[in-house]
Amino acid sequence: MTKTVPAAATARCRPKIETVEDLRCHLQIALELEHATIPPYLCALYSIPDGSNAPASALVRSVVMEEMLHMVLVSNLLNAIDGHPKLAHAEFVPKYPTYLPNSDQSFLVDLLPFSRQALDIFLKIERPTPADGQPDPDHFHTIGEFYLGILAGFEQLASTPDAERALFSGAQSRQVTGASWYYGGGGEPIEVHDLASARRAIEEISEQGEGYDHTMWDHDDQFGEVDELAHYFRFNEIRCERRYTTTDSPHQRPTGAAVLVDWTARYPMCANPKASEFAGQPDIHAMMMAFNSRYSALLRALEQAFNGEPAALKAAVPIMYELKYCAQALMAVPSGRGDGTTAGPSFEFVG
Amino acid sequence: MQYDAIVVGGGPIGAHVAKKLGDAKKRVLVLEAGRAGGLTWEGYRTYVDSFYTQLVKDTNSPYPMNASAPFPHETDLARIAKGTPDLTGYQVQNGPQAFASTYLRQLGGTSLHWLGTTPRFVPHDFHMRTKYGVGVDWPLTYADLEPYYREAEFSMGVSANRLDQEMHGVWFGEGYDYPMERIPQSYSDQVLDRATDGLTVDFAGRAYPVGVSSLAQARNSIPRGTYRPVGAVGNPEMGQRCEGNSACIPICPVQAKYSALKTIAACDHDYVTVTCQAVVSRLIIGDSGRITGVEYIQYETEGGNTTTQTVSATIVVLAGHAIENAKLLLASGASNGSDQVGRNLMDHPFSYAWALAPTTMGSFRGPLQTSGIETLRDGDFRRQFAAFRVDLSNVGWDIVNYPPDSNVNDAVNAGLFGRRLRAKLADELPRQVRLGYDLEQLPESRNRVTISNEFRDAIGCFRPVIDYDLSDYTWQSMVESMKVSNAVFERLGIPPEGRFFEAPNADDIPDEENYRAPDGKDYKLNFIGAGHHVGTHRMGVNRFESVTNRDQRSWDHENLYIAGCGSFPTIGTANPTLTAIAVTLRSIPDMLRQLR
Repeated sequence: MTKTVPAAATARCRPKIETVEDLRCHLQIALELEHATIPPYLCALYSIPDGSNAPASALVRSVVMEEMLHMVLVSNLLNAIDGHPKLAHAEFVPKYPTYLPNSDQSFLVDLLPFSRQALDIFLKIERPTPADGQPDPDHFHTIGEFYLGILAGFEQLASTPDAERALFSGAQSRQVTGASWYYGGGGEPIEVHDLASARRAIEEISEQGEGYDHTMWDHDDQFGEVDELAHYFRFNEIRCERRYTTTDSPHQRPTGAAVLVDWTARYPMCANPKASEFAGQPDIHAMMMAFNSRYSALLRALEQAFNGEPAALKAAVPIMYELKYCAQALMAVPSGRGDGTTAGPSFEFVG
Repeated sequence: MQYDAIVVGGGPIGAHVAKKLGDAKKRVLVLEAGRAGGLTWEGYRTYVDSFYTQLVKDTNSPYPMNASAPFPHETDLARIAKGTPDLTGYQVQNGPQAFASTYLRQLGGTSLHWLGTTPRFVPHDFHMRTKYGVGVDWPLTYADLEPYYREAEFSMGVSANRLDQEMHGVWFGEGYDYPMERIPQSYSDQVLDRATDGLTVDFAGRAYPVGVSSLAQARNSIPRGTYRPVGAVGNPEMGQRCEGNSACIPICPVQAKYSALKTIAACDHDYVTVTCQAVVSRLIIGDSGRITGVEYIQYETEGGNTTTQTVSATIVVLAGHAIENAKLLLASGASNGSDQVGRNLMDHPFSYAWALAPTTMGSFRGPLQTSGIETLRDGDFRRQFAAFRVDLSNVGWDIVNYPPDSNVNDAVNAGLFGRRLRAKLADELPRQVRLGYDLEQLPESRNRVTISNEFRDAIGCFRPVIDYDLSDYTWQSMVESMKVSNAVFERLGIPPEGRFFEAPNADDIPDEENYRAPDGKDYKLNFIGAGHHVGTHRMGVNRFESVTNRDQRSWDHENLYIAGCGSFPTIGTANPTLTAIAVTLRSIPDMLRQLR
């Protein structure tokens, strides 16, 4: 397969975080970054037929749930400093294959079915930050370094009590809080209104997500949850077909019980589909457009929810189910590429 | 190993006893006859997959048959020929009516396949003798149980709004509301709600309202306050909300519905040991009358090798289901000084009426059930005939003919295909309406579980032998319930000739009676079971008429508790699990006093 390598993304924020506007811009990037991970994870998840690969499916699903929580946390961070999260526009959605926004462009992210190749990409996305990782909001190597940069920005802009008050000027009503409308699972939204709560939100994202290479477990005592592995290690359990034990070191391969993975039990979705390539196959094209139209409706509902109407999340949840059904229907149809692949969701925004 | 308590059975009752005693740092051994399959997410998924592949999706279809711990299946049921016991299934049915209800022997018990409907009893349910001159009184009142209802509702995770449930004198402790908001009512509920506005029926000379209200359900919804929904065992992100998969019976694919697996998983496993594939065969009674040991048969594989072992503990709690508890007591010659063990078996005989409405009901949207007609659960008419809940189906005709598959079949057989087939289904399915009646039954000595040396299972344990019939109290109510169906169908614009009160193929229904009502008219009545087995070891105020005291402690053996739905002196109209858990939670302090 030949890859179209996209032109290097032009930096959309001024490098470095020196002003509130810089911080808002980088938090918008953070929102795009969190979102950019979800389509590839969903392609892997939905390509697993219901009932097969139960352990792998549950692990991938648990990561997706947390990425959705991270989007909520980032939007709370952005709303706390009077920003306006934007989701319902074409630029919000990456064109796969894509580099992660503001990354060092060391790898491309593809939309692929559940496979070792997909897991290898996931492991790169979620790679742990070294203990001496440095803040880097503009050309990060690990997502943890990006968030270290965000945190440094918050700390610098809230260095005095007066500055902190001025920075956190967003309306409280724009925060997504509690468990009412946020469909739990990945954890709970943290309400952000000062530097301490901003720090908690950022730490939650980093600990659940990539983790640090000196600790694998996300110790989340707040809700009495069992200790969970950070995403990198969860994906590595699937990739290595083996569980970690509590005594395994983060630098080793897992040594626990076998995880049964059947790499063939999945729909062979074609890599990085686009609706336009199916223009000559009207039935598939209509299914792709149906998916994209629901996906765009979801982004609109989320934008509404993150801009002062948290109750809009209630309407977003059924759309997420529709997306699953649309995606699985596509994955059951031959792609016409003549290589044994099936069609799949393209995650394109339609206005 | 000396245990503080042995709990026989790992269903909702056994799980709650284990959880509470374990939390109090007592050493508990749970002996479960069935297998532990559902305790891991992967294991549970095998049930879901099995369900998807079954052609007959009955209550126990997802759960593997088990020769070493057999259980009844709906497909076992046949109409009983006079004088000839039916031996088709696990239960030996003496009749005259078939006892048409099933349960499940598997870790998690019948809560694996239940619907999750959790109304409270109404206060008069506890005083049927005093208030209405029928049945018996309970040794407990609503006020005695109210705090334990609250605890049970939080423990299982019940979704409901208090205001919807305050009916027939049901009251709630100060400031209480359910842990989660009510599950939204379905479109068809709303159609029926509007249609029944201001509707009444005349029962025994008085007008009673017929109104639709939201059901309390142990399925996850939007949490209130600090409560957090409990998701799937081994996959906690799954099942935090009901997704409307509409397979609650026989299995919730995401575990948004409560099952006892959740309570077992929440036990303190430093104190609670769960041993599965261990069928308790006998209680060993010491000279003092105390239970000195429990004999159980452990099997390695279903139908395979067995070993018999004994274990002892300070107290023994039977929580193996109304039928299994009675069977074990009879097999052990235990706790039967009153001769009440196994007697007073009750269920909610379930009859129904169905029709095709002239306009859409919006059927087939939402989970299986979200509302009921609850207004006829109490009233003076209970002096003459049974009260009932009216069960409203969100899946059209439901058990009448198992739509939509059966409709597709019929239409294809009639030569329809393509657009015409789709048009016919799209037109008819949403117009299907079915009203179901969960009818009260009085305790009767003749309705009973017994054992016989003739009838044993593969590992030598007794099979339950069942004698079962309905009395006029219930038959008459079945006739009276037609007034409700007719009134509702009238409001929906369904003409009399379009209303049906029998199954389309009545031969498929095991139970039928030609009943002459007090008005002299003859009715052909049929019913099935609701799966609400109660009464086989009832509580009471003295050792002559009951098996246990109000703490579910045996009158005859001071360290034996016999817990669950079998403890109910009368059945009321509520689905029994919530009340059985509340009664059991109320017994915990008495158990702990013995373990001090």
